[in-house]
Amino acid sequence: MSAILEQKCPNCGGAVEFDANSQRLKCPYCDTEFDVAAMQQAEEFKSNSVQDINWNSQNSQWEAGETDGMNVYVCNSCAGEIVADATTGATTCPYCGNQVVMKGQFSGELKPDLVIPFKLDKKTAKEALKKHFKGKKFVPKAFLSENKLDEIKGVYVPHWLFSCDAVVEASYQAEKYRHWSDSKNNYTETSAFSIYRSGSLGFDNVPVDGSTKMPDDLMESVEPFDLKDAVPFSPAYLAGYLADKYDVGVDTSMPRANERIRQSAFDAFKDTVEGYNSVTPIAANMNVANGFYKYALYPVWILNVKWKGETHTFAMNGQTGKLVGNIPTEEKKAKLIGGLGGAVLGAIIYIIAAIISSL
Amino acid sequence: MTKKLFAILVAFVICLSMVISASAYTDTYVYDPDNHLTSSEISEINNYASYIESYTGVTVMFSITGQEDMSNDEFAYMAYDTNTDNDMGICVVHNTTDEMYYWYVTDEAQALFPDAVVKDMLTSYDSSESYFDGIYAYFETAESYVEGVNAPVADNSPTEAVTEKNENKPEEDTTKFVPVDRKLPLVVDNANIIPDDAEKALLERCDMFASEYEMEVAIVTVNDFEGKTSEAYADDFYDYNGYGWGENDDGVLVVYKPGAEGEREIWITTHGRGSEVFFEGIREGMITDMIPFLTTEDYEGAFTTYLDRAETQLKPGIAVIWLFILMLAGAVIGLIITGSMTAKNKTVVLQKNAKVYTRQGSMNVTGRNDVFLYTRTDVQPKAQDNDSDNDSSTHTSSSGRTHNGSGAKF
Repeated sequence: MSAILEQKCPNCGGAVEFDANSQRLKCPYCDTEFDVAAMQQAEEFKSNSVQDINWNSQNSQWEAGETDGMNVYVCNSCAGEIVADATTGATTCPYCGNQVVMKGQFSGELKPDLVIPFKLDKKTAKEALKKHFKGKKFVPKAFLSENKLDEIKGVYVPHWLFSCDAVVEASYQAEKYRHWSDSKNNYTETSAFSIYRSGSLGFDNVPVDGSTKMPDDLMESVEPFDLKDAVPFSPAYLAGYLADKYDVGVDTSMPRANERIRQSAFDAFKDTVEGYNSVTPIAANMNVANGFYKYALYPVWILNVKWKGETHTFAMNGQTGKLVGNIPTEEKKAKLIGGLGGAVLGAIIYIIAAIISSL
Repeated sequence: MTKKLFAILVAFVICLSMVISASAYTDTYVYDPDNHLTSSEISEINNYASYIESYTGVTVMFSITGQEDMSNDEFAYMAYDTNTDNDMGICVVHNTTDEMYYWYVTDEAQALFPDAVVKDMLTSYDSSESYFDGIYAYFETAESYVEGVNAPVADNSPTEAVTEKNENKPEEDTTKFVPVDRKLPLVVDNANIIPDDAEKALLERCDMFASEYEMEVAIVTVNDFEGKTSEAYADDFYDYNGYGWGENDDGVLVVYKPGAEGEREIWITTHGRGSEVFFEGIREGMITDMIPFLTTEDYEGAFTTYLDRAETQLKPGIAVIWLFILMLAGAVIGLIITGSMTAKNKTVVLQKNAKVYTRQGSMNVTGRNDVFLYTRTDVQPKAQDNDSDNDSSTHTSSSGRTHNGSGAKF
C-alpha cells in the first residue's frame, strides 16, 4: 500500500496547492507562495518519517479481495481513510478537503519523465465551455438553458510519448495525361510511370493516452500539447489536481503511435512524387529506427455536463485552452430544415426567373 | 501573224453568228456551228441556261466546234466575251477535231469553277449518249455547283419563264426556286374546312406569333397531296411558297388532309430554328393532341390546340424541369450547409495521423527512382452537339434544304 504525500505549508501547516497562474505552490490559508524546487528539497528531508508513519497498521483493516482495484490511504491532516482507485495518484481528502498526492503511484519505475503543469485554471475552463456552446446551431434549446455543470476537475492524464525515425520504402504507380482533339475525335494520351521512394522522417513525442479512464478520442482531440512547457516530474505539481498513473502499458500503446506515424510518413513520401496527374500507392513499408518513449503527465480539465440524466463530457487542454466535446444535436431537424429550406429556395428562384423572363 | 489575223476573222464570224442567233433567241448560251443539235434542242438548252443565270447570276456556256486552226482557249474566251458582259461565268469548248476540251473562266468565277468542278461538268457531258443529253447534263452539273451563290430575284419570275417555254423540262428543276418572301398567308385552307371567322382568328394569332416570337407558325389544309407523300408535300409547300421567318426561314407548318377514317393525314414540318423549338417530342405531342379534334371534325379546336402548344414552346419562359433541378440542387446545398453546421457540434474525433509531431527538417529521401513504363492513347469520338442532328426525322427536301417532321395517318 502506498503512502500519501501531503505538502504542508512551512508557515502555517496548511496543505499547499499548485497555482496555475503563478506556476508556484501556494498556501490557500495564509497566501504564502513557495518555489516548487525549494519545497521539493524541504520535503526530501522529512520523507523518511512520512513513509514510516502510516503503513502497516492499516493493512489488516481490509479483508482479502476487498481492496482489489482500489487502494486505501490515510489522510495526513485528519487521519481520515481515503479509498481511491488503484490508479489514482492525486485527489482530495473527502473529510478535510485537503489535496493529497499518493506518493507511491509515481515513484520508481512509475515515475513520469515529464509533466506539463496546468497553465489555465478552473475559471478559464468554465468560460471556455460557455464559449464552446456559443454560436452552435441545431442544439436543443433546452440543453442550452437547462444544462448543469455537474463536475469540473483538473486531471493530469498519463501519456506515453513516442519518438523515432520512421524508415520508409514505398512504390507508386503514377500517370501523366495529355489531351488534344481534331475535328472528329478527342484524344487522351496516358503515360504510366513506376515510382520508388525510400528515406526517413523523424517524429517527436507522439502521445498515446495511457489511462483507460479517459476516452482515447477525447484525449486525442485536445491535442496538441507543447512540450516546451514540460518540466521534470515533481509530485509538487500534482497538488490541487487529480492525477492517475498509467494503466495502459507502453507495449499496448505502441500500435496506436505506429498507426499515426505510419500514416504521416506515407503521406509525406507520397508528396515527394511530384509532376504527375495521378499517383496511386502500390506498396509501402515502414520500420522504426532510434525509437524511444517517455512517460508524461498532461494537464486536462474535464467538465461533466448533466442534461436529462445523461452526462456529456467535455475536455479542455490545460496548457493551450483548446476545448472539445460533442454537443447534443438535433440531426433530424437539421436535415429537414436543410433539405426543405433548400428546395423551397430553389422553387423561389425558379419563380423569380420565370417572372423575369416573361417580362 | 496570219494566224492572228485568221483568229480575228473567225472571232468576227462567231460574233456575227452570235448576234444572229441572239436575235433568234432571248440569249445565247450554246454555240453549235456544225449543227450537232436541232434548233429546238438549242432553244431548250438556252432556256435552261438562262434560268440558271437569272437566279444564280452565273453565265454558263458551251460550244461544239471542229475548228482546227484557232487557239481553242482564245476561242472559248471570244465566245464568252462577245456574248455577255457578266463577269461571273464559264465557257467550255469541245473541239470535235482533236477531241479535246478547252475552257475559259472569268476572274470572278475562278473560285466557283476550279478544274475539278469543270472536269465534273465535262464528265457529265461525256458520259451521255447524245450531244443534247450531254450538254443538258453539263448544265445540270454546273447548276448544282453554282446554286445559291447569288440569288438576284428577277423581276419576271424565271421559273415561270422556263416552264412556259419548255414543257419537257423536268419538274424538279423548274421548282427548285425558293422565294425569299412568303407568297401565301400563314393559314391556307385549301380544303375549305375551317369556318371563316375561325380562320381569321387563327391567322391573326399566326401573324402575332411571327412578329412576337420571330417564328412562322403556319396551317395548311388540302384535299390531296398531288401524288406526293405528306412529308414531301409539306416540305415543298413550305419551301416553294417561301415560308419561314428571317434569314434562316425559321418556322413550323402543319398540313392536314381530311378524309374517311384511315385516310386522314397530318404532317408537321419544321425548318431552321423551328426544328430546334419544335423537336420530335413536341411535334408528336401536338399531333396526339390534335387527333381527337380532327376525328370529330372540330378543325377550329384542332388548330387552336396546335397554336396553343406552339405558343407554349415559343413563349420565353423556363421549362418546368428547371423547377425540379433547382429544388433538388437547393435541397442538396441546404443539406450540405446544415451538415457543416452540425459537424461543428462534434469535436471529439480520433486523429488521423501524427503530422503535428513531425520533426522539422527531418525528411530525408535517400532513394528516388521514376521509371517510365508505357504510353497509351485513348480515342473518344466527338459528341455531335447540334440538337437537330439527333432528331431522327432530319431529311433533305426536294429543294435541297433540311427539314424535320412528324406525321400521322388515322
